[in-house]
Order: sequence, then C-alpha cells, then structure tokens
Amino acid sequence: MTSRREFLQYSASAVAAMALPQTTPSPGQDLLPLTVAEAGRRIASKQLSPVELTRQMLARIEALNPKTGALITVAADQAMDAARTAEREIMQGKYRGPMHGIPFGAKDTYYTQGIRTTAGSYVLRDHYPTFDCTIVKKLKEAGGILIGKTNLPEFSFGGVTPGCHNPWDLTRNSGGSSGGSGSALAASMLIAATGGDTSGSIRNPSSTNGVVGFKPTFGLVSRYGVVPISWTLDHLGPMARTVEDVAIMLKIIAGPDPMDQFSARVAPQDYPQQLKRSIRGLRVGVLSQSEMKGFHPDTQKAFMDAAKVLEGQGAQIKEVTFTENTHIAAESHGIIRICEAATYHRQYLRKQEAEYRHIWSNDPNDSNTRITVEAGMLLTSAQYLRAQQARKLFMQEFYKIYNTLDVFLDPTMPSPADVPAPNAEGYRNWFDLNGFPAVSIPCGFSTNPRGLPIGLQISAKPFQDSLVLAVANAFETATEWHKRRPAI
Amino acid sequence: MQAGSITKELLRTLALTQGVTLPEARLDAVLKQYQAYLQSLARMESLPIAREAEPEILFTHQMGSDAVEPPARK
Repeated sequence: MTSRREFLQYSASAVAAMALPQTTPSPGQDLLPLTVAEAGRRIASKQLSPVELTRQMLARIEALNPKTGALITVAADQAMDAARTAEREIMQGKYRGPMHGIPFGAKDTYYTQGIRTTAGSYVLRDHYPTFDCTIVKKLKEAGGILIGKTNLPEFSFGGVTPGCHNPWDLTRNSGGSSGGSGSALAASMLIAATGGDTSGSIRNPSSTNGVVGFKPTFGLVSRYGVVPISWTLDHLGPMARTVEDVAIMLKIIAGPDPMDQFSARVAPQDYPQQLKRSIRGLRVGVLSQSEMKGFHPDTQKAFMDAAKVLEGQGAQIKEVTFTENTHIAAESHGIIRICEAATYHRQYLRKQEAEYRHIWSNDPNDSNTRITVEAGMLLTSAQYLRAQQARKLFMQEFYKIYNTLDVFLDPTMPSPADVPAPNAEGYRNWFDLNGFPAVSIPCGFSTNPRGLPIGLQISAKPFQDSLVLAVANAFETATEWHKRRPAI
Repeated sequence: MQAGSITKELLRTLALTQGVTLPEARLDAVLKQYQAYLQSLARMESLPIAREAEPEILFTHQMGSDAVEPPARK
C-alpha cells in the first residue's frame, strides 16, 4: 500500500507534469490544466492526492477570483476536510469511482447543506440550506469534493452574470446564467462544475467561455433542491472542459428521483463507455443559413466548418429550416417561464420586494428580475395554459423534423461574448421548451474581435443523451479547440 | 384587449389583486414588460391550435408510488 508520504510526494510533481498544451502560461500559480478523467486516473493509481489537488485549486481560486468573479462562496475548510476523507478512503482501498477526490463547483442555486445558497440574490443572502440537493448529494456520494458556489445573475434571470468576467477577455462578460461555472472552468479554477438551464443557461456560458456544457433530457437529472426559475422548463446538468468529463458527471447525477415529480423513470446509461460510437451514416441536420440572419460572420463560419468536420467522419448532412408556426409557437417559452417564475416569486414579492438585487449589488433599484416577475404575475391562468397548448404544437412540429434526423446542429450563440447581435434569434430556448438533450462544445474562436470562443450546439431526441455526447466526442476528438487555454 | 391600451392604473390594480404594490418608479418598466408578454400571446393566436388541444402539463399518478393504504376495518 502506498504510504501517505509517497502519495503526497508524487502529487505535487504530478500536478505540474500534467500540463496540457496552451497558448500562453498562466502567471503566479501552478497550472491546473487537468481534466476530471485525467485527475481521476491519477488519483485512482495514487499518483495524485485529493488533498494536494484541492489545495492547489483553492490557491488558484484565491488568486484568480478577484479577476474573474466566478465564485460567490468558497468552502475551503469543508473542501479540505472532504479531501482528507477522500485521501484516507483511497489509501484504504475504498475507491468510489472517477469522481472520487475531484473538486467541483455548484451553481449557487443548488442547495448545499450548511453552505450559503443565495441564487445570486440579496433576497437569499442569509439562506443556509439544511440539506443537499440531489445532484450535490450524488456527487458527494461518488467522492466529489464541493469546493464552492458559482456566480450567476439574480435568481438565474439573464444571459449576463454581474461581476463575472470572461477569462478570454476580462473586459467581457462570462455569459449566463451559469456564468460563474463557465468562467471558473475556462480559468482552470475548477475542473468540474454544475449549471442550470431554462433558457440556455448551461449552453450560453459554455459557448461564451469555450467549455463543454450539457443540458440533459428533461427529467433525466433531478431538479430537487435547486432554486427554480420555471418548473416545466428547468434543466440541470454538468459543465467541464471535455465531453468525457461531462459524461463522467452525467453518469453519476442522472437517474430517477422520487423527490422530483418530473423525474423520468429511466435508468442512467454508461455515458463514458458509449462515447466512442461511430457517427458514420448518422443523419445530421444543420441549421440553414436563412435561419442565421444576424449571426456574427465568425460564428457562421465556425459552424459551417464544424458541420464539415462531422461530414468528413461520415455523417450525412442536410439543411434544416423551421416553419413560421414553429417560430411563433416557440414564443410560448417566454410566457410559460414567466408565469411559473412569478408563482415561485410571489413569496418574495409580497414581503421582500425591496431586497431584490444581485448579491453583490448595493443598488436597491438594480433588479431586472423583479420587474420581469412583477409583469409575469399579472398574466392569467388562461394565458399560461394557452402557452402550454402552443407548446404542444411546438413539440409536434419538432418531432416532424427530428423523425427524419438523428441529430441537429446549430451555433449555440449568435455571436461571441458581448458582441451585439440584435436581430439574431438563437435557438437555445427551444431545447428547454421541448426538453430534448443538447450540448454546447467549443468549435472555434472569433477573428473580429479576436480570440473569443464560439460554441456548437448538438441535440437529439429525448433520452438520446448518449448519442448527443457521442457526436460531441467525435467532433472533439477530431479538433483541438477544447485544448486551448486563456492567458490568465 | 390591445397591449397598447393597458394603463398604469390597470396595472397597479392587477398587482394589488396579487397582494403586491407596484411603486410609481417601476410602473413604466413593468408596463413595458407586460405589454411585451401580451404581444407574444397575441402572436400565438395565429397558431392552428385544435379546439381539442390540451395543454402540455403533467398530472399523473406514477406507477409504483407508495400509496397509503386505509386501515383495515374490523
């Protein structure tokens, strides 16, 4: 059995030795260019200690969080305790799996027992949950080490995260609403994180920060214990720097949960094991140019190039356009979202309306969330149900398209971080409305402005999550975009 | 009702029915947002939704859930 001294002796050099190629070196701290899969292998073979990994990660967070604003809360003491427990277990031969000893961050909507959970709002500034949400519970049971809570806009409302900066250009935002998770991953402050997605909020910051973010099929991953926006639109999922890492996390967090009434009675699959399937012969729909009006030219080019990569691997490409009815029916997303959100927010609007603002804001008038839910609260049940009827029509239109396809591709975002695309209609919302699985993976960088990440969105029919990840893996394996690191 | 015919007074009254007082400072912004929602709903009226269409909402009894059995009668 490896002694603790030997374990730690290997660890420090093992972390430094695992540097992946990157464009420029990071200042000040040892690099943490690890992936979950690589760190997991090293931990399993006792070449890397969870204690050393966690300590280095905490040091990097301390150094970089003032620049990125990625984390609201850092749970250093709890993380080190958990790391020591993980190390002890592994040395005793009680290895739990690829997540054992791996630090992760949770979006600050995820209930974490004894650790403040603010949902990014001053309203919940003193909220200390008495239990872990299902996802955090599962990650901890798998040996994961919760290291902190990531930043987001107030109550997850919005595609821009206040005070959170993009590691690729610190003058730009990290996107949202899981912006803190995206920023922390890009800056190597975290190697694993979680996000929430109601209107694209895992995929937006993943694209914007050049990382991988997966929105599972609705119902595959439990929503229990997470501050909601909208009960029938909310999805929760993993974010990391590679498809394999996301697959590792998904295998742990997916599965039925009696605490979530929308939880699907579907057993999770072995997502990492299914990554390597061939995509030869797959019918791949690509968003037609006519549907990309107003998209940034760099985004369009990166997207077309990405489609060619998959075509080169044997995929059969066909262009897809949507009917006018599909576009109109998609507007039901906005009505459903705000009616459900307003119902949740009634409890705060009636008693704490003066407290609405971002957790870091001192301006009591600074809350777009409050204005939005106040307006939504005035809609009637008949209007809400009308939108749910339109949703059914939207689903029917979507199934007509997907019955001729295996997967569908489109650019995750119409433009890179903070680059205006005022007349462009992105399609992220659509996959919250229909609950289909969708991933965003890096597929390029902009040239004007220079060096901002661009994401590719891949989706498939419900419960074909493993197919989505396999296609993403095929693209990632054939390209190097995911290996680039920002100079921070 | 046309979105443009909604008044701030009506908005204030509607909010009161929900137990919420809308301050004057926010009325314009809330009104603008509310009108946007109404415009979206108006666009949806053009959709060919069948008269028999049911909303996409789930209410069901899941198979295998733990039902509480009534106590045995003597």
